[in-house]
Amino acid sequence: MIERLKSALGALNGPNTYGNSRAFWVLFVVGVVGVFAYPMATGSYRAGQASLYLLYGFLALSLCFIWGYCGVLSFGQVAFFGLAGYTFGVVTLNFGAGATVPAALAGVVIATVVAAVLGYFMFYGGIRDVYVAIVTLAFTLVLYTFMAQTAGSEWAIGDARLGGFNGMPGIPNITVGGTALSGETFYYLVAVLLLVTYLGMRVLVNSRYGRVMVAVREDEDRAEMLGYNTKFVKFAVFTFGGLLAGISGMLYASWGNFIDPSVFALSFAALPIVWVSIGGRESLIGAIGATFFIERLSQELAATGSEWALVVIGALLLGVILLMPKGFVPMIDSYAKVGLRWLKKKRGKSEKEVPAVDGD
Amino acid sequence: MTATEQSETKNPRAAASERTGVSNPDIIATDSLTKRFGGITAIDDVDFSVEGGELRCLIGPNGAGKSTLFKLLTGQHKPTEGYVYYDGENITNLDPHQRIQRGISMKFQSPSVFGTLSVRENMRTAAQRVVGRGEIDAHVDEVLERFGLLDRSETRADDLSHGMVQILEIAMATSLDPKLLLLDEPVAGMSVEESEKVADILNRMHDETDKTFIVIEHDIDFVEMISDQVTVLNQGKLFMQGTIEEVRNDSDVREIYLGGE
Repeated sequence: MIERLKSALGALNGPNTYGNSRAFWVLFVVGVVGVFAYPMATGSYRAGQASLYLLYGFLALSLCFIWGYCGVLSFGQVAFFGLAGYTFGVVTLNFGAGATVPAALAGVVIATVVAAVLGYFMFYGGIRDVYVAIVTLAFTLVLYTFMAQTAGSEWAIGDARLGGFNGMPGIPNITVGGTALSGETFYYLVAVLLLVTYLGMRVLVNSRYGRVMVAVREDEDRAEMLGYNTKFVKFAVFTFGGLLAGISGMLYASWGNFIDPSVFALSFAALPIVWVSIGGRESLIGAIGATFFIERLSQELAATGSEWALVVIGALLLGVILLMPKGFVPMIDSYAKVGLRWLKKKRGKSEKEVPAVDGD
Repeated sequence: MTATEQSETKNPRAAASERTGVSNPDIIATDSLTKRFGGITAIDDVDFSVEGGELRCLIGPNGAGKSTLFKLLTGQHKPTEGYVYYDGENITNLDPHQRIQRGISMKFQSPSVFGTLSVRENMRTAAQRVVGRGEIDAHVDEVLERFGLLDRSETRADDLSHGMVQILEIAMATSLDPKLLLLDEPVAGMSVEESEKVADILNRMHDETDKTFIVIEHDIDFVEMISDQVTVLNQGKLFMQGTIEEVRNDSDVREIYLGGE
């Protein structure tokens, strides 16, 4: 039993994740406890506000997964985010608060299916590299333009008016077992989902499938010539990315009780790229952490009434890209490794031994 | 597409050898294979075949179409005309990964490995498709040992010397346990010791297994070390086929390949 538990936990670690040491996991548990204790310290209202940063974490993970692990830069993850949000809104406004769970599922399914269709045409059509970014961005901006012109009353699905730039107000909260989740209950829902998703993705990227994804990222032709169906790999990864972005968007619509075309705007489409670049493209925890930090920071800056938020985040992005091109977490990781090696050496010397220093 | 019309017809040579009961039918064969890029004919009506278990070298001057022929065999290029048969099956319309899954494997001309991964991770990535979870570590160790890479197994591939990267890529191609191994300039840029080591490994694999090897190489000394039968390609056409001595002493080959001395 303990052996089985050990091997299950071992699947969380591997060459494709930063943070496989005992120290990392201790810090991780402390962090998780902190996240779960947060509402008790600040109260339900602040927790409700903070759940926005957590639910953006899925959007960040979706880009981290397809860009960082498979090398496919999508500029349009917010398209799936927005589609899931709109779907959640349309279904709940038609069927009421009792239908929020089916609506949530519908939102995620729609986002996944659209990602699958778009991914199929892109990857089987031979679109690669920067052209994927262009196509996905164009797709997002088309949705923006389309949704922006739906102000008229003819643009309604059942009882739900799409509302153009005014958006769709009055979307009910996710309701589970008769309880509408808002404030700290919603926060806990998002936190638990995010924790499970993060751990699941760690297992995935360190598995055989993860190794194939990384192979496609590193050298697609080589991967294909090892017998891997690289088009299918990219298609599957992109589809899963759509699912994650869909979870994020569905939670977003429930969180704000509102959705509007700004979720398809260029400025929002760029945000996941900023989060993931700063946190570290190849780091799942970096993506979540950077998202939380940056969104929190920009909220604080916006709350002081200054217009500095965008400038500060832009400067942060530039600084990170220039000073630590791989992102924050990979840099911390390499410093930690150097530090550990130095400590080992020092300890070895004091014991009058010359320890073997591994090259990794 | 014309290729599909004949998809059921067997390679005539393979069929013939089956009739005559020859034990080594062609593992790979091409039938009137032609590849044009715009106005340039890179491969011109080539009927090329290699028997199972052979170690064949493919030589020819720059631009003769050697690498293009390899890419037609692996499916990275689709032919303009003609067919490719592998083990008696028409594979002309198969994608590269499908051909690899049938037992073809290739080392690229310019070395390509997964640079940021360790040597071991590179090997595992290659081998995991053909080797089960339980045996993969032993399999990888065995191949690394054979290629003398075991003590470098935790090194990042980018930190290896050029020659070592080439050896790693050959090791990766080998770890798929292919029936047909295509090596495009396996020892380019290697030291003499390294190419001797590669020659030794190839010769041993050739002796000990029934794998088939096709090797593109410019280095005639290396060709001499590994291969008896040599095919010469020139301007997209099969120019000559014979033993290394015959090829060496042929005045026409000297003319085109060795600079007419």
